[in-house]
Amino acid sequence: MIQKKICMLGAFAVGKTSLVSRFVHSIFSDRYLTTVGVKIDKKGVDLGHERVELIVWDIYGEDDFQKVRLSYLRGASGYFLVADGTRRETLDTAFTLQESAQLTIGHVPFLLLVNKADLAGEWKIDEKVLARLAARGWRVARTSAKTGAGVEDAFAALARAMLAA
Amino acid sequence: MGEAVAEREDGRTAHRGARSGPDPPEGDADSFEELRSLIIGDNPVKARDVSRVLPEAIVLRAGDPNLTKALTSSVEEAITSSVRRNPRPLADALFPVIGPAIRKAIVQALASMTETLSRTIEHSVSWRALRWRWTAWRTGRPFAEIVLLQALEYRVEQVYLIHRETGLLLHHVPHDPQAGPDADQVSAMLTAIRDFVSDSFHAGAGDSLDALRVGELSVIVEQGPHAVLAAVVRGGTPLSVRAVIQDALESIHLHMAGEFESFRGDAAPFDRTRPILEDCLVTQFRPSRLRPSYRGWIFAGTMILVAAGIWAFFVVRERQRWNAYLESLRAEPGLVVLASGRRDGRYFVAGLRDRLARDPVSIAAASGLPPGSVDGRWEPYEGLHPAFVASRARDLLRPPPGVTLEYRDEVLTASGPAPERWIVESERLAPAISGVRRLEFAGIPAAERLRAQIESTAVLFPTGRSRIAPGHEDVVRQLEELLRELNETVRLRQRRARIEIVGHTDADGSDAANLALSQARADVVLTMLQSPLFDALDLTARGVGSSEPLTSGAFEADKARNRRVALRVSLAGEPPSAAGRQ
Repeated sequence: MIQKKICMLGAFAVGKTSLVSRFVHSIFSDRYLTTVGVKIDKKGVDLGHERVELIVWDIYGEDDFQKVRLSYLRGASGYFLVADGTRRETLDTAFTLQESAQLTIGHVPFLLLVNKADLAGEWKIDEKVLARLAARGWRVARTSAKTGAGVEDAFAALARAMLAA
Repeated sequence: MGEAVAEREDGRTAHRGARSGPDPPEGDADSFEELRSLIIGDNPVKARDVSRVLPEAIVLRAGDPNLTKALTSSVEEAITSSVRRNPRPLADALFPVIGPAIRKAIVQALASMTETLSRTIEHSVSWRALRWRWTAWRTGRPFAEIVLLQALEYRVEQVYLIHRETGLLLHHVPHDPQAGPDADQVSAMLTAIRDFVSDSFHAGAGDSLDALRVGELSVIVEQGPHAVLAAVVRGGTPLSVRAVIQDALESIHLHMAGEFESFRGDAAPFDRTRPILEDCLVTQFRPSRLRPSYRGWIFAGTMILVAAGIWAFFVVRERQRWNAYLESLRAEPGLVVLASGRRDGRYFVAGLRDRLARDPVSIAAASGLPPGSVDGRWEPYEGLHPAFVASRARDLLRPPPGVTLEYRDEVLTASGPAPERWIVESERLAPAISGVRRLEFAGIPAAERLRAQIESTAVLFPTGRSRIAPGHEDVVRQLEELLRELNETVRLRQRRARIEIVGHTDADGSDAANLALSQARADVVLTMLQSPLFDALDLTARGVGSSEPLTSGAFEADKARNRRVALRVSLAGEPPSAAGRQ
């Protein structure tokens, strides 16, 4: 069985933790996020022919007061960038984080998850922007922490991309 | 063997090559082969044939001791050479067999040791064991486990082999097979924490967290180029544990270099590190300390001392009571202790006992000795204690009311109004009483008393007459009574008394007439008193005229007192009393 380390990056309060909480197995409490700045979850992904065990490093969201500890990225085979569809600035943060990640661990597969798909009416992120990103080769997925829509697919997509890398 | 054949084939090829050139003519083939076999001394076709039939041949020969004998040394050498060259293949091959066997043996050994330990402690009552029991009860863990943990100096409970770059778990070996299903998350978290610490404290390159400590658990972390080895240790963590971890990590890097290079998330190849990691699961027990046994001895000694003290107390107290009892017995009149001591766990005392003495059993009870704890054997005797002698005398003599008996210096003294008969009888009996030499009567003897009474009684007569004055007949009867009493008294002592009846006159008249008158008066009284009953008395009468007047007065009253008859009593063997001589 293949194990992979992945990270979850994103601005503060974009719903990273709640996005995966119902899909993952964790023995640690959320308290670690605010203390150590990271929380470890585990997620098994069945790709049909192969099963991948993802060790998910849920890294505390970047905000004005705290920078993401980039050392947590070391050794990651892929990562999720999580943005809040209702807050345009979270996408900018995601871009910044992507640059930092690329500098730290190089070109590894990643997925941009635009969260709160259930609130599509309040979205502030332009579809065109997302289309442009896709055109640049970014994998973009719309997810909802509330309904869980798109989350399983996102894990599978990242796992597949990492195995192919 | 295949290699050997190949070599020979190569040799043949080389040989052939050396002789290469145009093919020899067909007719020369046989002679060429012959020549070749002569030079080389071997037949390749034959070897090939043998190789084809060899397995079958060995199977056919299975069970033949000769074959086994022939192969043994070669197989031994092959194994030795293989191990010398590279021990890994053989170790890997044997690992599946030996690993479980060793683990099973260790588990059994530990279980039995725990059980023994538990049983030993189970029966020992020490302060420490009680404390452990309390801990077991409080934490709800089995007592044996508490004992094991307390007896542990340290135990490496889990070992994590972690990929350094990714924090992914490569292999995990727990001491307890049930532990650590989420080892992969722990592995990642441990990596995160190490990163966190390094970042937070801006540690220098290469520096990293190498130990964590939580309560009695500590995590020792050793870092290598590719992997990190973390050991969870319960108890103290001596340097030797770290040395073991370091050795293991080095060994893993040595043996798994290729696997580290090609690691892409598949941890399966690292299962091979299991034996190395299992070697890290060291358990070190505390060297058995002498203190508990000392404590045990001290405890036992104290108990013995306390028991001995209690025993001694009772023994001493009983001994004291016994001695006090013997003292009481010795002090008690009428008891003579001749032998005493202990026999068959019981006290005994033997001696003499006056029947008047106190009961020794009641004295034992008064001394605090339990009833029935003393065997007594008392022979009856008569003690000479004054009280006993007096008591016995009273018993025997039965003194009349008012008469008391006293005993001193072997003399029994009676005092009080005792009848002569009793006195005489008692005087006779008293010497029969042990310790009594004689009986003395402390009062005036009856005979003396009677004499005094008799001599002070006078019978008066009228002037010139020898007839008793009117009213004085009673005096005579009184005298008669006294004489009877005297007779009785004297007779009891088997003596006799002489009674002289003396007649008197007053001074009037002539002496001759007075003498005759006085004789007549005495004779009258003698006649009146004479009685055959007075068998111990000798009565005589005589007149003395006026020669012995009571008074010399000339008054009528004086003269009347002189006209009398008086009695003089002489007790045999005694001089006549002063009164009698008057």
